[in-house]
Amino acid sequence: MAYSKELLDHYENPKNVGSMDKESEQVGTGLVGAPACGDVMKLQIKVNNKGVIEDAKFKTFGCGSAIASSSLITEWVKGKNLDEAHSIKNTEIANHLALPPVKIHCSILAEDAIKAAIDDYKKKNRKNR
Amino acid sequence: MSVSPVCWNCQSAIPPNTFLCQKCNKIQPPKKIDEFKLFGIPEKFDLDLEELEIAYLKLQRLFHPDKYSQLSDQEIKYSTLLSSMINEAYQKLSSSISRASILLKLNGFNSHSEDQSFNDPEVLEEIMDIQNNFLEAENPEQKKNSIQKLNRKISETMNSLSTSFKKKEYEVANRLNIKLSYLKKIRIDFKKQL
Repeated sequence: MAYSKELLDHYENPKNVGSMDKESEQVGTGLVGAPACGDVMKLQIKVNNKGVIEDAKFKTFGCGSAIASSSLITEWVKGKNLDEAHSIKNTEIANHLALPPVKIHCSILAEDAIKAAIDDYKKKNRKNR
Repeated sequence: MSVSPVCWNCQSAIPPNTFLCQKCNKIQPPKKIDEFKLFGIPEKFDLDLEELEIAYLKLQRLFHPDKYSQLSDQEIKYSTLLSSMINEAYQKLSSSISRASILLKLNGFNSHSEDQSFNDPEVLEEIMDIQNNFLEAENPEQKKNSIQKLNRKISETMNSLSTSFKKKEYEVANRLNIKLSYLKKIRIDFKKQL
C-alpha cells in the first residue's frame, strides 16, 4: 500500500511529541481512544491569556496514521484561537494526509482529541472565574 | 415480516430457530437468528466452550455443503450460506470479547461502535501507563515481567466482566469489555516486540 509523502513525513518525524503539566490552568488535555485497534491518543494544548493556542503536544500509541494525524493537528492548532481550533474537521486531516478509507477513524480520533482538550481547558477556566 | 415462514418445498410451517423442514426434511434458507439460539445454548458469558463445540459440530454435520452436493442448486446455495453462518457464529461466541458484545446487544445495550471515539479517562490512562512501562523496560527480562503483569490484568478483567454480566450491570460490562479488548490488543503488540 502506498502512503502519501505527508503521512510518511509526520510518521517518521512526528512534530510536538511530549506532554505538558495537566494540572496547569493554561493547559487543556484530551484523551481519547479507539478500542477496536487499540489506539490511545493524548493531546494537550497550552492557551495564552488572549485565548490563542501557544503550544500543543501529543502522545499517541497506535498505528502510523494515528501518529501522523496527531502530529498534523498539533501543528495546525498552534497560533489558532479556541473556536478556530474547534472547527477543524477530520476530513481536512484525512485529505491532507491522503488517509486510506480504513484509516479515516484515525483522523476522527484526532478531531475528537482536540475538541476534548479544548473542553477540558474551558471547564478548568470557567471554574476559576 | 413476522409471518412465520413455510417450507419452500412442501409449504409446511418452519418453527423458529430451525433450518430443516420437519415434514419433508429439506434444508431451508438462512434467516436472522442470534448466535446463542442458533446453537441452542444458554445465553450467558461464562460459556461451556465444550458444549459450544459439540453444538457447532452437530450443526455443521447437518448443513455441511458436502452433504448437499448431489442436490439442487437451491439446496447447495442454502447449505453454503448456512454453513458459513454457523462458522461465523462459532468464531464470535468463542472469543470472549465478541461474545460479550453479542450479550450486550441482546440485552438492549448499544455497545461501542467502531467509528466512535472512546473517552473514559480512567481506562485510557491505565492503558497508557501499561504502554509506557513496556516502552521503558530496558531488557528482555523486564519486558517479560510486564507481559506477565498484563496477563494478570487480563484475567482480573475477565473475572470482573463475568461478575458484571451475572449482576446484569451492562454499563459496567461494556466498559470492562472495552478495557479487555485494549489489553488483548496490547498483549499482541508486546509479544511481537519480544
